[in-house]
Amino acid sequence: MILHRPMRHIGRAIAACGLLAFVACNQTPTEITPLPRALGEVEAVRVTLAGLVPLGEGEGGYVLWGLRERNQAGRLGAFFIDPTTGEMVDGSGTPVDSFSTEEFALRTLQGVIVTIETSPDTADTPVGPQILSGTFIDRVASLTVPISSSITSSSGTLRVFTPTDGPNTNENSGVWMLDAAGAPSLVVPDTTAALQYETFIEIDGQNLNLGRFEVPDDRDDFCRFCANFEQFPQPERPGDDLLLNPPDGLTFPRDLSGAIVRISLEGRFNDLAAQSQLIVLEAVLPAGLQGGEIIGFVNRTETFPAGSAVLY
Amino acid sequence: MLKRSQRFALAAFALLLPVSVLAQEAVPSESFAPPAMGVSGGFRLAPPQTGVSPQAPPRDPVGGFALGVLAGVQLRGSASGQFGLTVGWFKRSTSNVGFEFEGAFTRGPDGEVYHGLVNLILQSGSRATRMVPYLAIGGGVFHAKEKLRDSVAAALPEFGIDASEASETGGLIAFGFGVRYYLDEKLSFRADYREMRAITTSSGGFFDRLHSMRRIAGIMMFRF
Repeated sequence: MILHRPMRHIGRAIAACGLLAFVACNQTPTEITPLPRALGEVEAVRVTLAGLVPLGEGEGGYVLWGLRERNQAGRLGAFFIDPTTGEMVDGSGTPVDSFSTEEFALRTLQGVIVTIETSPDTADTPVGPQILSGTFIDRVASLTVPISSSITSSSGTLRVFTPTDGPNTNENSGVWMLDAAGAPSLVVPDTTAALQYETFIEIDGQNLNLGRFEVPDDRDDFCRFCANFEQFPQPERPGDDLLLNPPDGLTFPRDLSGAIVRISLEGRFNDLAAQSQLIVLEAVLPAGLQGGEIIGFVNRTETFPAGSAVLY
Repeated sequence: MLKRSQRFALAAFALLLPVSVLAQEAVPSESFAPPAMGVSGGFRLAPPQTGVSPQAPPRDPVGGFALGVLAGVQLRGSASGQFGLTVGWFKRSTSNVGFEFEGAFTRGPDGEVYHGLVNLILQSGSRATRMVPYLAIGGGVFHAKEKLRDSVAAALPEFGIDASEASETGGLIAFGFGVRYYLDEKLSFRADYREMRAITTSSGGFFDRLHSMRRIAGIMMFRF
């Protein structure tokens, strides 16, 4: 093999450049500058939120997840809400509004979700209740509670009476979501695969769970304080009589004057026992209840958390 | 463990070395073989090239200047399209060494990138076959201009980010290979793979500032 001297130098140069290209292979700058940005690279998911409440001790923390194709979720980071400022902060209390990862390309994200995880620092898949979600349209996502937007026009009434112990007995000790004619009294959108409705009643500072329901024209899954519902069947509507099995610190039957009834959205899976921050409807029962009163609910969805996310 | 792209680059480099040797072994200018151009029907390898052929033409039939039209796609990011022109000159005696200027622009989803490259092209003897592998090495400059989407520009101030559109200019390193197929003496088509590295203005060391603009392209070349 006869190699001319100039060609030998060129061969060495090519080998050196090949090695350089190999070493530098797949490089992306540590900082996204106009060049990679023009070609579609994204440095971070920038998030701004309002209305998320600080979680209590033992309730875990919030985790932001990126949704890729086929709804594959990839972790973007954990955050908490500072109880004094309401800002998003990381585990050390430093304000945070951008999230990034090396695990996948952020430009491929189709959306983001926020869940509540009991182990926010180690969670690698979203298993906790989903509280916010959004789909990227032109690199911007509006983050809302993942339920129909008609939730904002939810309304309804409750009726104070106790059907499970017969007529004219302890009538001010039960609340049921039906009108005077027995028809469903709630107007709420359908539940989702992630969320369902749950009724709580706050009495003397204790928040009692009255049961979960899917639709307003069917009963909920609890009647644990009801009396004799074999003899006096409960209505086919959500609600409960507070007649038996009182929790510690309360006595039943109980005059519900002054109690607060709240219907909230709760995670369908791995939900915390306490009521979530997603209060849909709220009714304060007036003093002097006799039974038979129809009390209107107030829509509280303006307190729902919301926000936006930007791929930039 | 090597990343998949690094394994790919290593394999490509291993493939390139024989091509490099092939280019180095190109027939010396005094040992011409009959040109393969103009032979109809597929590829035809030339006979062993020993000694000086009395039938050798005074110059390589495909040497000289050539103009190319380039259309390609970026393999990084959002598969942006790339379009451009090339002007090349190949050694008239053997055409196995050439220089080429490439000017192109890439239309990305969030802006445009313009680049100019000067490449050294080493190709195996074009006399032996219509199908000619080649190596390319070069450098140049780029100018990138980002274009913010309206929705992003409206949202950025909320994060304290200036929503003005920025631009950037820097150097470019390119290394690649490909195959040229001569349709006839004047017209050839190239399938080109190019590892381009833009030297961005980001902070950090040299390798931290590199951004891959890896691309594949087809180039139609006209000799004139």
